[in-house]
Amino acid sequence: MKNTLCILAVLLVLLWAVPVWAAQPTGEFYSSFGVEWDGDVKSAEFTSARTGFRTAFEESMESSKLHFSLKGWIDWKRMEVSAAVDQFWLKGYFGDLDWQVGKQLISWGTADGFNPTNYFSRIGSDALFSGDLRGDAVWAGRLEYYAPDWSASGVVIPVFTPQKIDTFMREMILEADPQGTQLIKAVEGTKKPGWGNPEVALRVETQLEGFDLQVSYFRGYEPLPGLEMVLGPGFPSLEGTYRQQQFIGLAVAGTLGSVGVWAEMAYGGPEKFAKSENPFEMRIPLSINKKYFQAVVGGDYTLDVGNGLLAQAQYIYRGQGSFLEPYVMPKETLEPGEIKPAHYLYGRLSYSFGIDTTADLLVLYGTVEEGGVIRPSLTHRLGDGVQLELSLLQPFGEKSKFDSIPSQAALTVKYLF
Amino acid sequence: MKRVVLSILALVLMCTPAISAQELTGREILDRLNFSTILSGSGSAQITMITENAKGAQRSYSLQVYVRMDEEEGDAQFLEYLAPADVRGTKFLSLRPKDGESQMWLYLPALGRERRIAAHMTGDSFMGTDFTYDEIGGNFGYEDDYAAERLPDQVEQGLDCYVLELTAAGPGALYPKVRMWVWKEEMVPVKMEFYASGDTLAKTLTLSRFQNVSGELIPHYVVMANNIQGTRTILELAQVSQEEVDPEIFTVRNLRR
Repeated sequence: MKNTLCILAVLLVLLWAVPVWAAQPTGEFYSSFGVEWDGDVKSAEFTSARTGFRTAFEESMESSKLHFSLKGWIDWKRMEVSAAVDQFWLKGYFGDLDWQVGKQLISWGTADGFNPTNYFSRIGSDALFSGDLRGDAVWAGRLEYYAPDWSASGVVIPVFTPQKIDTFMREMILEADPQGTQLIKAVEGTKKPGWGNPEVALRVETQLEGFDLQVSYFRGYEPLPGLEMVLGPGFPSLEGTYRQQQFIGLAVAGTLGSVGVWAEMAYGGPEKFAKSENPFEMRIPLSINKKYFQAVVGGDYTLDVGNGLLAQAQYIYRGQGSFLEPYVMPKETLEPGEIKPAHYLYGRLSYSFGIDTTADLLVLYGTVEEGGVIRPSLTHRLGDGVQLELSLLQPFGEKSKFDSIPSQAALTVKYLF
Repeated sequence: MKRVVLSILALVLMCTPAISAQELTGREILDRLNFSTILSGSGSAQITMITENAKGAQRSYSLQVYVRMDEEEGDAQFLEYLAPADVRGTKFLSLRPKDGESQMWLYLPALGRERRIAAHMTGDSFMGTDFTYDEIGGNFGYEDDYAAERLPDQVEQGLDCYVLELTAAGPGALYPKVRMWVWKEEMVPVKMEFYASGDTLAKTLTLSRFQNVSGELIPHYVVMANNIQGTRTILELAQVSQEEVDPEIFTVRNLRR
């Protein structure tokens, strides 16, 4: 940890001192304190004390822009350190073409948080429950062509980056299955496709009757590996493969009278698992093994209450099942477990109490999980650049699978510069 | 306040010669303001925007604003927040084609993409200020949506003014009643009062520190007061330019740059 801290400090000092950056660095420093409690135990536990930062350096030139940003944190409670390049890219403009190369945030789609057509910058459940809808940046090359009435974007990701199993997903997998530890071990042990196996995507955008319309195609890999249970002469084992997958997608956004509306849908899926050629071996898929459909339909409306109460609602359909339970264990008859399509309702209320204070309420309910989570938060700006956020995360539902998530409260102090 | 604030440039690009005829009717004065002429302007400005709550606490923002008023292509506004840090990089694009519905997009850097702003948002507070999305986007229609009646002249800010009372007469009218003080010499509005239902004074807009920019008279200090909530939003203009704005500015492509 000491070495990481030293490297981090030196890197930051060097970056801030480099005169090549004409512009001032921007970013944030924050400290957060978390408390968790369980309704049954009726005791609270101080679980995290994290100090972190995100800082960006950006230089605009005549027809190009260079960006470099770092992010990192130290968890004083768990004594863990994390530091990484957040984004590092160069973009340029040439006539009708825009291009961008490097580690960048690619955000496709029209919905909030759940984007079936956002094939690249995936949002983890950690981010989703924290209200931060920023996805992860990926190393990619992007080329965009803009015609007067339409545009096209092409993306190439030379090296596939798998989805991280974040804290929430880890807890859900461990809770949902007695073999959760093996599942996670199998996921983390799966060899990912390397160089020579790029992911590619194409999107065409236009307007139709006042609606923004996006049609997209993606060819890449599963964000989490497909897992199979292998039964043979020895002990049963779990094996993973990052299968190639393809999707076609459609996204729409616009207004219907006084309501903002959006919809996003994608159809596709991974290639089927290869059949075993070993007659003494039986392989049972734990992951979905067919094409599926996923969709999001949402809308927002500002109610005439005080300063205006923003109400937002989304219906989410996932043909691939629960997003918290990506693997289903086989039935006792050794047939693949049933993956039920999952339906979610996602709602958000937001209200500003004048200049400095904003209240938000996020609610997510899942039919497969038979429950959900609710997250109220209050943000208050203490002065220029300093803000305070108090949030609560509370699962609900009697038999809810979200029960594995403990109730938690967090206080975050943030300085933005 | 046909194109208030962000469209400030637009709002007061009126240099129509002073009208000496005292017998002008309300409609004629409104017509002399010549909103279509205002809308034919184009320019940019850097704006300091200060929001003030009912207790007098203030918060300051810095914005870069571009405006295009074109009779053929329609109107467009583009703005980008330069400071403070929590809103830096947020961009707003409003397109109001001559024929067709207005369209608005908000680019949020944290999200990494733009969002369509629904029509219902246009009557709501813009980013917590006392301006509505319509006001910030310049989507007014006084000539179409209001009937004008002339009231007795008054002196406002030390200036001889016509006083007009505009009454809602079209579906696009945001307020049932608007009262407007028009500086006789320059035919520019210097104060406007917006009334909610029940004849309640909802907002007051004052425009001052007029300066000549490329032959156009532009207010460099604009205050919108919310008389119900006791809040205010102050706009101070700097680096005002009347130069033609590149049409590429008013595109979704530019939002993403």
